[in-house]
Amino acid sequence: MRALVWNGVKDLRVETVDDPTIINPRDAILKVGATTTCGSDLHFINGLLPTMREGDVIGHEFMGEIVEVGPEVQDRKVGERVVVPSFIACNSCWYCEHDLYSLCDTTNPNPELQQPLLGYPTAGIYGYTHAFGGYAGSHATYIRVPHVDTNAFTVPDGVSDLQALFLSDAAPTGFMGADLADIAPGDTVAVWGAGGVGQMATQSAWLLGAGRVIVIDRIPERLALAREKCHAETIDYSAVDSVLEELREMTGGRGPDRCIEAVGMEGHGTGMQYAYDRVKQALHLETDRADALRQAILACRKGGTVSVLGVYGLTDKFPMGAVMNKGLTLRSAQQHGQAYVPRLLDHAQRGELDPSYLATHHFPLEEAVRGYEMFERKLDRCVRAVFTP
Amino acid sequence: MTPPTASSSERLVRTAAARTQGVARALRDRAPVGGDQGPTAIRQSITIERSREEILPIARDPHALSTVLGDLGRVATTGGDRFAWTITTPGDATTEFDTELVETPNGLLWRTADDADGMPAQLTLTFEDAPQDRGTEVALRLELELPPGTRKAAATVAGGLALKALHRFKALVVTGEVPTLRHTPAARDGGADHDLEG
Repeated sequence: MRALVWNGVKDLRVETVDDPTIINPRDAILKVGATTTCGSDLHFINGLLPTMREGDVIGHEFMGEIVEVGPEVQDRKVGERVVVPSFIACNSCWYCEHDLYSLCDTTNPNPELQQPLLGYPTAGIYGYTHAFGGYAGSHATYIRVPHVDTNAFTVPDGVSDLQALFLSDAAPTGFMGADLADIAPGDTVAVWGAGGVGQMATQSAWLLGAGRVIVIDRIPERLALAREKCHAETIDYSAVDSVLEELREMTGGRGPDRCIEAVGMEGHGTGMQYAYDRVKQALHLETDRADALRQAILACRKGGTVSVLGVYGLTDKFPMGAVMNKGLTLRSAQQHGQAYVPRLLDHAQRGELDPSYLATHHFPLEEAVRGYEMFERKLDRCVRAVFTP
Repeated sequence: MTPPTASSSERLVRTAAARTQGVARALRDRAPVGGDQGPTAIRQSITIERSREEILPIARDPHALSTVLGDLGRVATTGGDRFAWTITTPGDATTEFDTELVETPNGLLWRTADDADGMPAQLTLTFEDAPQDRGTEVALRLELELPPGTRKAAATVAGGLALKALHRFKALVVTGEVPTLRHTPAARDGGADHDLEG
């Protein structure tokens, strides 16, 4: 089959690789219907995250049709149209039993690579670094899905392939961010980042009872989408002197009640702090440009909650004093998609959540390299590039 | 404050570099668990969401242990409670040792048989009830005689491999299967990682 592979820093190519096969009895093979880019892919594409291997198939946000199941698969059937969350869960360990699916204790074949970095290993993920498992990804004709009864969700009639696609990662991540923020009815919520995850976090904040949502970014078309599709107020941080001051004035001097950070380690900013991060990152003295995270912590009202969705490595100059002295609650996780996808499918089926507008650009798999270029450089107003194998 | 001159800046950089090197040497030369003499002890622990009564039969089964080891090695019985272990380390070197299995009050002990060939070794699994009905705390302790000069590096590698094996053991007990990367499609080795477990 054909697949998009990583061959080194900033070196992606579409090459021919073997088809996946059933290995374990609860596996299934999916024919990929649609697969999309994600901002977190850029971290290893650009060499900021270790343990990639030359030839790795990438991609972790996908939907498709089941074409083969293992002998012990009970619920999923050949021919079903399904969406699969990015993290692989077993539904048998303590973490899965407590809906903490991205912390699954049994699906990472390389726990010894993660333990030194994180303290404890987490779940495997498709198409990412070998510290996160080394599984082949979804930018390919076919993909193997372990524990398919746990990890694949039937897409109901009335939900299109494109709507289902973004329920693999962007939507459950955004929804989880809003969930972790513990939004009380009428709360003012600020969201940093108007990319795919930020858009979904914004829509989710409304679903969970927010009274006002403010989105911060610098890309005009993405701020426009936040206003038009997500009914949010917006701040262009490149056009104001201080995002903190803007938020303070917009909220009667209190600050937003809940802050959701959906930017991550390759954030852009202004001023000396951003310059500091750029230099240190270039010298490999830190992995993160954490401007947005610091802003969210400083902007949040006293006693509020900061929900962190951005992917980070090692962050320098973290304002722990602000967290402590303002009594903030800081919550974070990789998406526990298996806990949220059923509800999100319901929302999508009822027309309450439609993420398909994120698919601004479509490419055949053979043109996926061009798709990533457009996605990374935000060319032609690209929000997400979708590949069809 | 007098701004630093080029020569004073150079002295600062050299001093910082020397102190960094000193710290690195101290960390490099720190003795591993077990000291510089005698067997090296490797420790890892994991909590498995099953009772010890459910875990014990799997731990005693050489076929299950071979499944757990995967590409790390294999285990075979040589009669009764005697086991032959073959462990493959990075670089495709192998370590072999024969053990006899003994049940202890808290778990299982595989120790090198008195008449066995190969490297002296002792593997212990101890079981304690985990709090809050979380199952069983399983502690692995592996004692190996490692050649001087390789002890520290070998201990680090062995610790990682022990962690991998313990997680695979948990996956086998809890899910009935082991996470694997066998036949993972990739643009290397002819199109897939054919034999790689992880």
